[in-house]
Amino acid sequence: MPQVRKPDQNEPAALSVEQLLRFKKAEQPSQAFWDEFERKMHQRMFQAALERRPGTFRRVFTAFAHSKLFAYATPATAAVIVFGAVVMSPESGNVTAPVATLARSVDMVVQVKAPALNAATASQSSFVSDSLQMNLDNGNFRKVLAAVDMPFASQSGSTRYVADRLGEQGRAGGVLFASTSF
Amino acid sequence: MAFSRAVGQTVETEALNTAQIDEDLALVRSVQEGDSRAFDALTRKYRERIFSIVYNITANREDAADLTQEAFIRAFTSIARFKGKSSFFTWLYRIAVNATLSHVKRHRMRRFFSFENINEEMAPTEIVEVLAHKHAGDRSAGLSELQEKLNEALQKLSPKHRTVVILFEIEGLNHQEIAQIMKTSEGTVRSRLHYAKQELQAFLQDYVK
Repeated sequence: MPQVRKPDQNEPAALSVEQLLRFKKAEQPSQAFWDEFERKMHQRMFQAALERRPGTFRRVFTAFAHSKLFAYATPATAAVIVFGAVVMSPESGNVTAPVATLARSVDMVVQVKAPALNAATASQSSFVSDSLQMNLDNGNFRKVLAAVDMPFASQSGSTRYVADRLGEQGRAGGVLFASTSF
Repeated sequence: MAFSRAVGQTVETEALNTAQIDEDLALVRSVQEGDSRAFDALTRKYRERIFSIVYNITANREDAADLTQEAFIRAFTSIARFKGKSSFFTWLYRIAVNATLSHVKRHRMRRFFSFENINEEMAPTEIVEVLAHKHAGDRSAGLSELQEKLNEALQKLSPKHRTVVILFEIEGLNHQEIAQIMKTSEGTVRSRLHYAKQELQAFLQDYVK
């Protein structure tokens, strides 16, 4: 005669598929994961913004992004610092886009000293691309510079952000750190 | 039951959804006008939810992180074209789901699992009780085994069935929202959900009634 298993009085009720699926909500990344996520996200958004820019800027950045230096870049590598000057040329009451000129050739990191800028004017400037182009033309840099913790303007890539940050300094000699470590 | 839940949910959350949609739309308009900080706010608001969907479809945390970033970047680079015909989150979820389904299709022969950590405090009590009984009190072993079985079972479903069951049962979206995200009819959503749950019932018979 087959034995019939008696139900275990202590055995909890079985689960439904819906209950089991709710367990999936317990799978959660740590805060460290989100910190790293945000860092990579900004890096990729910066690259995406640059890819929308034509010509030299994109080519130089792409070369940089694939270099070994990029892979090993950390905030600690932000050691090579060169000072540049922002040149502003008022003409008939208009202020042209400022251009940062580097004092000498650099590989990785650039710190630009800027005078106080009018935020409205600066936001319309093409500060970054003009500066890069100028320094590329005169052979003063071999890598692209980028700003630390850079959020990005939707339509104009990094330019608007950098210009706005310069404008926010609100004082003569404001300093913008630009770093390959993002 | 699923239908009544969907209707009830729609009514209860209507006011909340409207406020959320308005808030998102204001942020989108700011991004369109060049305020990048508004996009950071949108990213922080939705990243957990987007990651959860992508992770549950792929069962791979590294792929999920990559695809979640990709979804946000696609949203960012095409936000000028967002006209507000649907809510921002529907638009964003659609981008994420499409990118993930394409990824799954492209890599259907290469499937590696990489599971996320379990936050034990988040595990539902009724599940913990059943597992404690089943594993003689070894709670962690029970939770790890269930995690593996659940992910395996979900991966046995077709990507579209998997997506529907994830959006409905885990993310709590209603049929209409899922239909908008997947660009299909509500009837198809219901049908896929019904079939997917039947399949899961069979795959998970060690745990279910």
